[in-house]
Amino acid sequence: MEFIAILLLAPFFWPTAETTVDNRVHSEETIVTEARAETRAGSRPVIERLEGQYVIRPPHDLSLTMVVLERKGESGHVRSPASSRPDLAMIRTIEVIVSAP
Amino acid sequence: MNFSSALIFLTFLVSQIWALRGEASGEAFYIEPMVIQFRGKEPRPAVLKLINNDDRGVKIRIDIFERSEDINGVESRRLTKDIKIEQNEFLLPAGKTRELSVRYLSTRKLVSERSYRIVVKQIDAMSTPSLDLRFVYVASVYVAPENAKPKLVVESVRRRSDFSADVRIRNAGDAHLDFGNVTTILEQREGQILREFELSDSGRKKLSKQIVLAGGSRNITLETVEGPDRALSAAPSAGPLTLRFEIRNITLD
Repeated sequence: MEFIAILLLAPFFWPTAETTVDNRVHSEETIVTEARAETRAGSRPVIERLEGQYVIRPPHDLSLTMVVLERKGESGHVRSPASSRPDLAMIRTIEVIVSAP
Repeated sequence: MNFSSALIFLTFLVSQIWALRGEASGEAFYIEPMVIQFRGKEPRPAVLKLINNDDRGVKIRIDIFERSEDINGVESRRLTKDIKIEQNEFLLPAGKTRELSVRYLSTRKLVSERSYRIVVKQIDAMSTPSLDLRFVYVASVYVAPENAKPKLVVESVRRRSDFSADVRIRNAGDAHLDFGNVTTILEQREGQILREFELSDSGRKKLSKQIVLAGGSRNITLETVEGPDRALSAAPSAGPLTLRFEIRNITLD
């Protein structure tokens, strides 16, 4: 069942070449430039910036990539790397920062 | 957590964020415009719209900063009173739009463009049973003299590898430069022969997202299209690399 749900949603979130997190953004497309997360336990994870994307590494094995977004910046989306086993339940807050040039 | 559980949670997470996508779903809180431009002495106030299409109220805090950038594009901000916004902290009720007046108040002589940030922060979370999301919008305000314009000066061009070059540029003009409006041409002249190096798609996109504030300098790496005969060092007696810019809709001196 969950696979069906994933398949239905996937087309909306498939990362494209445009989905690059970057400090600088074009004037006509405002994109998410940073993402922060904290764990339910309150300890802050390590956030690494890898090739334009943010990888969040909490104290244990959670690995989550925050990916960009499009559309004048009103939103962002989160996906996990295929190779990881994310314990997403550990995330309590996500702050999505949308920045203009 | 097993793989199935992770998938279920991921689906839920994604659907929550999709539900907060703004105009696309008719929900979420957002602001417009993201860029405000003031021109000349005593510019007229601008209007910043905050729109909450969610079915819950959103607590909002607004701070205004003066902005600067270093040579690598890293931004610094400090609080300022040069720009005033009608109200700094309030609750934006569900389904409401609020228009705030934004005024430039500084009496300092404006010899070159000044750059500011309006940071609109959601201070409560859009709670779901499992995940809280908070949005922060960082809008730009540029205050420029009449007829201000950017002026690009290339300070150095240096081959970094066969398919990339490091350049340093300076914006000697009095307005910020948006590389989204610039065509960049990297070339090499040998006698009468002029070779142009095509920028890679990713390199062009990266560059197009950069700006250089008035009076600022910037280090940039240009990535070119790869190929055996396209290397920056391919010519046997390669002359120096040069850089040329064509700015669209703006006249360069």
